[in-house]
Amino acid sequence: MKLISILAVIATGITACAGYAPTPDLAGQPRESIIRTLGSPEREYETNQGKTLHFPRGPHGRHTYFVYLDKSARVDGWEQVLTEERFKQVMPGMNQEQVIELIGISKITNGLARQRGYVWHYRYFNHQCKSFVIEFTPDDVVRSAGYITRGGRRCNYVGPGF
Amino acid sequence: MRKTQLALAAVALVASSVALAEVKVSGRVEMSAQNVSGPGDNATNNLAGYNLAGSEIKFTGDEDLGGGLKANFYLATGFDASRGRLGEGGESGQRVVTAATFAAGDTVAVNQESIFNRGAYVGLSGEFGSINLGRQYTLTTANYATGDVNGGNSNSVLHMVQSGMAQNFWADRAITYASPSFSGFSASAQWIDADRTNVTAAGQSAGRGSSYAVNYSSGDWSASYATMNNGCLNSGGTCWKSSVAGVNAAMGQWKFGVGSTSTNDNTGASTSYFHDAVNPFFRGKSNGWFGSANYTMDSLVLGVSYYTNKRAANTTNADLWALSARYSMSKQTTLFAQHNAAGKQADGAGFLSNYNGVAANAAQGANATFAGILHQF
Repeated sequence: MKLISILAVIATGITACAGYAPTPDLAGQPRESIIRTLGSPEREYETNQGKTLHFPRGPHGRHTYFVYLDKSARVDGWEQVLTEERFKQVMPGMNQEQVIELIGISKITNGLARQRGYVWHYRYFNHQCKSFVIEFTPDDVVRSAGYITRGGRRCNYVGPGF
Repeated sequence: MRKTQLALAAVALVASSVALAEVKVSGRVEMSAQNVSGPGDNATNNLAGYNLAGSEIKFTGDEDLGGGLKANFYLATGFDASRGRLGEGGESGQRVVTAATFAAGDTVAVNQESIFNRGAYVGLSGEFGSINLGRQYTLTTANYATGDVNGGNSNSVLHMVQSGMAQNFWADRAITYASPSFSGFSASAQWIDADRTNVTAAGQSAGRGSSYAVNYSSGDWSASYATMNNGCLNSGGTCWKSSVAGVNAAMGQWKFGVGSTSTNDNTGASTSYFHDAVNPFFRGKSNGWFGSANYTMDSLVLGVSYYTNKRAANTTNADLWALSARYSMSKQTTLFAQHNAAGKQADGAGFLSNYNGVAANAAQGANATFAGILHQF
């Protein structure tokens, strides 16, 4: 027991140093500052306003942050995108890229039997242990999407399925 | 007049539909074929409705109260799909307890009597976190899965861990506060005002006590620690203290987890109590640990789990191996197969026979193999 507790504390300290979420002092800072604080973005692309950087904290973390840079490559704002408001916008027929632009990439995936495609799981922070789940066709098109409420002792479970 | 009544009824129906718009009905149905074998010729083959996660139906919902504040509720009941009846024993599933197995003086409060045996609570949530009141998991139960990457299996290592943890599944009449997430950190506290004193074996609910947990989840790993005292806020009687710690990490297609449990009481002795008429479990001081791993290959997830528990005041230990396979048919439908092997110790044998109807003894272990289908809705 003591060993596990000590390992948990050590691991917690190490990861906490890497930075989990944007902090208010990053507003207006250059791109390098956000990279230094949050690590390398999982995805970075140009928009009309500047750039968007994705920082998913999965599979274990329950947040994904989008950081917006203006045209001078300074932090213009950020957003935590794993929210039910955004999940509502995921519709059948959307392609994978549209999903990623909306809620970022999933860090928990599994394939489906009979080559029917694959599933993306989004753990997100809520008080009912709900996960958002998207089923894609083999052509990377959303077939269906919805919630799974694990609840109870499976609340901390990280993986596909029930 | 009749038209008016019909119109009012229609309005009431529409209003009712609007009022219930946020209510979500969900759950799962599970069935499997199983073979269970114990000492001698004692074996059984049958269909069972409880081997993986158990069947359940739940009603959840929330209402936006403005300013980021929400009211929410959770009502869940387990059922046995093999016979279509209620009373499938809470998250412990198949552990059907009868009054005759209780120690003298215990109050019968088994799960069969509960409508919402898998949770019934209402509360508020917002930027402050959440606060819920009602029947809820103890925080130690809620944190088992951190160390078991094959979590979500009621007939496996987690179940064994809970046996080692003295059955503190449920907190009745509880108030639970959960903090918001601070950069991946969160914490919870629970106060339990159960209506029974020092009874944990019977109805799987704690006595009066409290429970606390801390969690960290980020990137490829997470960790949690939870502790509870059970009955320690009662005046006199037995006071149990339990804790569970766990860490798990993802490395590509692999996931690994390890955890430990500890239970102690103030009796200074290893006093037996009974889950059923055959199999004694022991309370008193015990320590255990568990390890797990799984590997994902497209639609197939293969897993292995191990749990062992040592009791300081008794020579009997308990251990269990479980090998599992999950095959995803869709985001809602999973085929599964598993083999459990319990050790030759009394606890290990009792673990399996506890709910599969096969008598076991201290000299021989028991095995269970099952395969089935689970559908979520």
